[in-house]
Amino acid sequence: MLPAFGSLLSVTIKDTAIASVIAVPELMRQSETVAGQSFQPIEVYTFAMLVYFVILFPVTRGVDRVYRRVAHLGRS
Amino acid sequence: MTLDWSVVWQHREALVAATGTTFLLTIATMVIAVPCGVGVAVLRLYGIAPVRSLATGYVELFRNLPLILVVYWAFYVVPILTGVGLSPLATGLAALALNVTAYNAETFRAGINSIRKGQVEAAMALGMSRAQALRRVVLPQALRRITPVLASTWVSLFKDTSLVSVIAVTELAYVAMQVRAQTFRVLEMLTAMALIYWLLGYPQAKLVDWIQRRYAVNE
Repeated sequence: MLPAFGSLLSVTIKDTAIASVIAVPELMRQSETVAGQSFQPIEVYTFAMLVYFVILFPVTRGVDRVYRRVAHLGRS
Repeated sequence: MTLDWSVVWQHREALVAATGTTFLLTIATMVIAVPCGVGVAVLRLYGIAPVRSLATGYVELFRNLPLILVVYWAFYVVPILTGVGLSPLATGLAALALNVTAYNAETFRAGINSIRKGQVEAAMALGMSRAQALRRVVLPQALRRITPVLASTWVSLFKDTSLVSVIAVTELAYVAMQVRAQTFRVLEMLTAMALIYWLLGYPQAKLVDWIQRRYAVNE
């Protein structure tokens, strides 16, 4: 059950980006705004990608690590 | 507050066509993402070192990015970088396929890893090559084990296709929002959209439950 909650954590962080469609001023929304104002979508969206990755990669790695520690790995 | 539900019926043709696009997107994404997922998983498990890290990098990148950002990125950045201007539908399909392929690759990798090493060794002792052992012994068993996972990925994907509405792909979410904007019937259209997604999604979820019971592994 723990790993399921762990992956739910990273899914939730990723899904916060959907809040941008109703103009919640989070990372995704601000990126859209800046990309629109600066006419530099490549730089802005690639940077946003990097930020999300830097936030999420440690989370998924941490979840994997916890999972390996608590998993039964073939034994039940 | 007066509600006018006739607006839903008036736009039935657009909604039906949009539902078709939603299904088309789901099916096309899965048709691309299943074989590509197998490919990436096999490369990640058996490829030479640089290919392996490339496959791992791809999976980790797309598993750790919000789908909506990948959709935007594919829409704004890919045409500028490559000079190829795809239609919104093709762009949305590409973004969904990139995302789901990464997830499927992990599913297939877990499935392949769940088959005991001894089976490959036994197959190779009988004179099969590693590739033959993989194709004839490991993959058929792995595929059976991960069918339930692929089925639930399917249902998630069906709902996630609504995210490509942000780049004006005329699927269900986009068309419903368009009708909403034209008629100002916000509550009616959003409710109708929710109802359509639910009515189509619920049988699929029930089917997944059935598949999970049918293919449950008892060891």
